[in-house]
Amino acid sequence: MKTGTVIVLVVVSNVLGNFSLSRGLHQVGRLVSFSPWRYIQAFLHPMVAVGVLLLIVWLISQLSLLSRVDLSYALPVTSVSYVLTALMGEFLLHEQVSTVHWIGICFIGVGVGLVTRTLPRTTPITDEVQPCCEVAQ
Amino acid sequence: MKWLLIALIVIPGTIADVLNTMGMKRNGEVADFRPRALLRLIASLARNPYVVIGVPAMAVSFFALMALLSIANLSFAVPATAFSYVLETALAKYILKEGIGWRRWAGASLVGCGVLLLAT
Repeated sequence: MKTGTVIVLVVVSNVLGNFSLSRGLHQVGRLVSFSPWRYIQAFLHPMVAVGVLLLIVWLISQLSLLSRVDLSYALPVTSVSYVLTALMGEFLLHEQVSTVHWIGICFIGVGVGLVTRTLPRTTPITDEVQPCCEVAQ
Repeated sequence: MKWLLIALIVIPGTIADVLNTMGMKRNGEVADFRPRALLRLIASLARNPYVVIGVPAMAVSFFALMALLSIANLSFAVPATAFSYVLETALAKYILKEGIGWRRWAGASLVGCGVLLLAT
């Protein structure tokens, strides 16, 4: 899988995961509690469950991405998810995207553009690579 | 309570990102995404001390975010996350020894500002 594809997977699973999770949790209600039972109850809600599954996909793809590129490259590049979250929220609620939000989106766009013009990986590849991950492409 | 949750989002989240990057770099590049290879990957990560601490730290940060979002608006939660872009870029430079030139600094700062603006 290309690094670009992993980035898309990270962003999409993050946006959809957070979206279904927050939708589900709003239906579950208040969740500040130190009792694990409240959290288990929340997980049983279908929207929450889908969200958690998507976030597991997100975790694995994020770790894979970090195995290939710098943290300081991965973080800004995957921040496109904030843009998608904002646009999705506003389109779903049929609201107009405000000027401030458009400016924010432009900032993120320029920031990501700058970071993508750097070498994705600046640290050396260590020789402790385990056999599992050395699949020829 | 809200500020405690913010601290629980930012501090473990930052530690998690740094540790996970260290762990994954030592694990080697993940190239195979077939289910069997992913299971082997998970098995090898379970023996990787960086990831073994990093992923639970990420979970703490995540549960704190979940809890915060159930009592506060996104616009309260996001500014702290925005600041962490710059913080983590600095940690990447000094701890992970990543080569960070002006483009990365400018990019991380612009993204942080953009995220702040999106939260208003």
